[in-house]
Amino acid sequence: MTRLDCLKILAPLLKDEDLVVTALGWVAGEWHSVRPKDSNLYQINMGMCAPLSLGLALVLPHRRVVALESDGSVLLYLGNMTTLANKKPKNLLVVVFDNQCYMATGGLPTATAGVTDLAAMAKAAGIVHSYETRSTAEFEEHARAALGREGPTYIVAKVEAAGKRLSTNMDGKESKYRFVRYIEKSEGIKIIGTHAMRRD
Amino acid sequence: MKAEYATIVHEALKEAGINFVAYLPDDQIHDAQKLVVEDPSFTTVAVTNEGEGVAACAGAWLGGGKPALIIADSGLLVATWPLASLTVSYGIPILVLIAHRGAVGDRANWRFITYKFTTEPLLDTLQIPYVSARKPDETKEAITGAQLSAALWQHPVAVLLSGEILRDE
Repeated sequence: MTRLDCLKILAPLLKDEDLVVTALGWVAGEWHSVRPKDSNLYQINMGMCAPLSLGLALVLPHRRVVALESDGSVLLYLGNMTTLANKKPKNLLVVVFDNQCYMATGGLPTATAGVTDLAAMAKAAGIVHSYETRSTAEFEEHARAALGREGPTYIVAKVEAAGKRLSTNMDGKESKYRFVRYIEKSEGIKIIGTHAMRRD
Repeated sequence: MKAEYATIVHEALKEAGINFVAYLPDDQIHDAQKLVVEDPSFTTVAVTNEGEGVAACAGAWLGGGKPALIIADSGLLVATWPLASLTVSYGIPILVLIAHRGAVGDRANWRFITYKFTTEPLLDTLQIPYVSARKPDETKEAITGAQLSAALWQHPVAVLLSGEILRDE
């Protein structure tokens, strides 16, 4: 099973208005290739994708938020599992693509190449719906179930250390503006602008 | 922190429009953190480290919230990576409220000289503008002004609280 296999399964399960945040690395370009929507925010740096998605999910509780994480990134801020578990955002799905290595930087192994089990850790942290998946059929079953119930759900997809170096063709600031303007439009709110001076 | 000073901080955050707070408990600013946590008009997240809190605040802003991170000097050291690579790089406005020990003349022991050497230079290095408030009557304007600049600049801005405003007596 590759990450791209999983992304191709996940994309048609989501609604256009579902918000998707990707970690840094090849996952961003791969996701953009299968679902190039304004409701995507790309390339959130190491450790920050799931915590950022938590903040987003808490301020927009009526919107579905999906974090596309990686093993290396999650390992940097492991404590975040406990924060997710205790805040219990009903609208958050975290998918960790666990290829057991730091692939984008050369492929040295992560802790999950050894004895570490991220899904078991998430469950022990208190995220009741935590699962490890090793086949595309299993991944689809868990993704469908997650999108059909109240979360949070934490899916660890064990994937091959393989990927495509695809580009989103935008930098972080462009991704931010695109995403924020989409939120403003879809929520009918102002986020960026001089309205702050009027405190409205 | 005296109860009346904690109220000043809490009310200034409300007046600044802050509605989302990530925090890691610190004894110097505990009383203000407690008022915020107990106020249902704030969404609060108790984080396990301050870097995680920066990311949660960034997500809150992207979704239309007005976030603040309430931490101590030590937390600023922990938070440097997300502050640099997320809020500064992308231009994401978050208010960073820091209980700052280590000002000259502060009633702080040997441990806190570290923060005399780190806090302000770090903020300068990270290119995070900041304003300091030592007196209760400076605090409200520092907080509301920092939030206004953060929003208009799309950039994190810090407030350093020190001296009298942090004192218990």
